[in-house]
Amino acid sequence: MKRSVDFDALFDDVYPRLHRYCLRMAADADIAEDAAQEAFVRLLDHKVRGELPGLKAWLFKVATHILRDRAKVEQNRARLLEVNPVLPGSHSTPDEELERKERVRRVRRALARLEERDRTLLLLREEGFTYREVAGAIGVQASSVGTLLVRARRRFEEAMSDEEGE
Amino acid sequence: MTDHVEAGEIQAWLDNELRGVEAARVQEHLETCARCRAEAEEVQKSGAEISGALRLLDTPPRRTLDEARWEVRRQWAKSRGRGSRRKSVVAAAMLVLVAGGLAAVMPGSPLRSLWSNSGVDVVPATELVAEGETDRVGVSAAFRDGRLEVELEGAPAGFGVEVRTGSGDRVQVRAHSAARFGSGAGRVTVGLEGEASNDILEIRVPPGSGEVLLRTGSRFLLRWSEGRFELAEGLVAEPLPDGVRLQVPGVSEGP
Repeated sequence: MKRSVDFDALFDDVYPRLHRYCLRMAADADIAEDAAQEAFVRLLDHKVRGELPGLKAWLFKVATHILRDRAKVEQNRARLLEVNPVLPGSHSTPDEELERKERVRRVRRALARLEERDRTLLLLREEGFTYREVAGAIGVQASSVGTLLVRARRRFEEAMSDEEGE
Repeated sequence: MTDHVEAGEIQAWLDNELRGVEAARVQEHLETCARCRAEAEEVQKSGAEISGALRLLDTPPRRTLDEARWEVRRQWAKSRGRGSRRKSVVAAAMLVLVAGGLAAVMPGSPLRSLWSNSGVDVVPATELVAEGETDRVGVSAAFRDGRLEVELEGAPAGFGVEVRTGSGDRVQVRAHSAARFGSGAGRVTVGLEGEASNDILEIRVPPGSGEVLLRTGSRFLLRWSEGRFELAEGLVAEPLPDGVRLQVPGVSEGP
């Protein structure tokens, strides 16, 4: 890959998804943005070359490590579980907004209750990763991703049910 | 083992991750088994609900894509500056012109055909190459979305870039490391300060600008006019699939 040529295409294609992934993973807009950008900086630093799928997988993996390595992620997640984003342009009533915030809180808490592998698997799949790519990222066989995905979703649903019961 | 297919297989089939006989086996079974069909619907519904739940967590990025890319390049330039502040001299300066972004914002631009025909159109410049060149500086430039980005590598203190416009268009220049700016009629100058440094200059040029001249030090490098690049005589051009790379013999003092 010629960096000066292909970097922009790579960035345009991957950054929005990587940012969303980091945001869902970290539950913190600052951390998400930092991690997504730092992954790209490392890509440039290390002069990583390759095809788009491989580079995408590399970026998500690095971003995952960045998020994991930041000890403050967990404490921020805990802190931010109670803080919900206000979406621009929202025209909902105060009651609807309250309900939406409560639902966001439950989703975050449910996600936080998952094992890291389940959380990573769910979020990577949401970003359109193939089973092979997911398998490479979490260290399992591609043939088992379907089963692991079903289990991860069930655990998430259970966690959501628990949150709704509390 | 039952005759039914497992949820994981159903999931893989729904995700189009099964091939050949495996995909056919699951599909045939689902066509005849109401129980597994119900399971498939349940798996699909669950996936959609979870996707919807996760979307609740999304908030728009605070930075636009362009701003985020810019920030990445700024951080990278900064890290390179820390790591290789010492390379005040590089073996060969390079100028990379990327035409794709420019062509994208200028439908019908002759630039596209220029590159696609691999015809690197080197036109003798009207300004002469300065004598007394000393250090060589890595210079790369890329046009995208009507913006010319210039990266400097190993630039010595006082190294400068000058941008001139022939039509009086407004040109915006940003630099991240210490720099001094100057301006005049149709002209913007940027001089780096301090030790040898790396930086990215962002030069915003309106897509409809009639003419832009880029100089480094006392050397004229290129002119962009009516969708065409004119490169200074003496620059060795190497065609790339979507652009051209130039070997710049050398540059010296700032403007």
